[in-house]
Amino acid sequence: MIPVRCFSCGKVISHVWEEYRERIKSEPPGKVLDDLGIESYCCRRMLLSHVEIVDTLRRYQ
Amino acid sequence: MKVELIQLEEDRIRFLLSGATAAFANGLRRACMSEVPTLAIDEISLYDNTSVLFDEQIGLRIGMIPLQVEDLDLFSEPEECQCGGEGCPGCRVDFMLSVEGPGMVYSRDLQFTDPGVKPAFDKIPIVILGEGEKLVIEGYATKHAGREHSKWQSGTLCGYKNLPTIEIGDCSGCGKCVEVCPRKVLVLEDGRAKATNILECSLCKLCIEECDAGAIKVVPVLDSFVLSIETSGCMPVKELVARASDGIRKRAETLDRKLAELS
Repeated sequence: MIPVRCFSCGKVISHVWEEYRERIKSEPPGKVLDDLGIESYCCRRMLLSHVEIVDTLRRYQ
Repeated sequence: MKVELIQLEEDRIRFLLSGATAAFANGLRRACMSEVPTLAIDEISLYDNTSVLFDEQIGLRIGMIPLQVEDLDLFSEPEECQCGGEGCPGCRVDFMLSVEGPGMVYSRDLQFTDPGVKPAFDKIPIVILGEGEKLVIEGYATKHAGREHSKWQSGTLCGYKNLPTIEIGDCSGCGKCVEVCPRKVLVLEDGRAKATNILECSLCKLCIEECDAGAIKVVPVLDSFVLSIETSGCMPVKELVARASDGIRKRAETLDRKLAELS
């Protein structure tokens, strides 16, 4: 699961995660982040570097 | 002391504070980050959790959700409450969360008993539930300041810098400084470099290094500061700065009173 807030500055970033994940399929991630108002590089790396592993974990429940 | 507004949005503000000391500007910055109390979920009881996340992870995620309150002054911090910290409607807001999968559990699914309290963002994912997975939580939010834990932090990205001035002496008009400036502060005008949009200058001093003639001086104005403050979403930024300054004033008054008692 995407962390609720940015590790460094504390800004909430998780509320844009689903929209971000959909939009990067067809648009460049940098532009999407600009659009969503994620400006600082600490917050941008939260979304850029996130890997969703919840569905993989579920198989071993 | 003078305050001049540069930019104001719902969640961020930039203003110029002149005629103040660095200590005061920093005091305001720190008050915004750690002295303004707000509500955050403090304790939970998990009745059922068959999701892929551990109970502790869910607790942590729920705690970090900023909460908006209609009238924050209705609540008091548990330590200062009439009930003596035992827990009463004056210092606690109860909530319920009961969801069955499949599907995503969002912050908007939190049901608070007080209609004046709601999550600042509706679409914060808490956990994704698979077929037949269940999450049943009950708990309460309390009021504290950011110094206690970052979940109560009302101001997130707060900073200040000295107001810069750029003095340009004997300019040859080569334009190197214009090219090297990362914030596009300098422009060429009539064969001379000129500083525009001085508030954007980050005092990186690349232009000084680049200038062969040594004509550029970047000098910070020592008693003027550009403060930029952002909130976590729990309150509008105007309210945050007002509450932070109010807090500083109150503490200064307390100090004044205590000193008067001593002498």
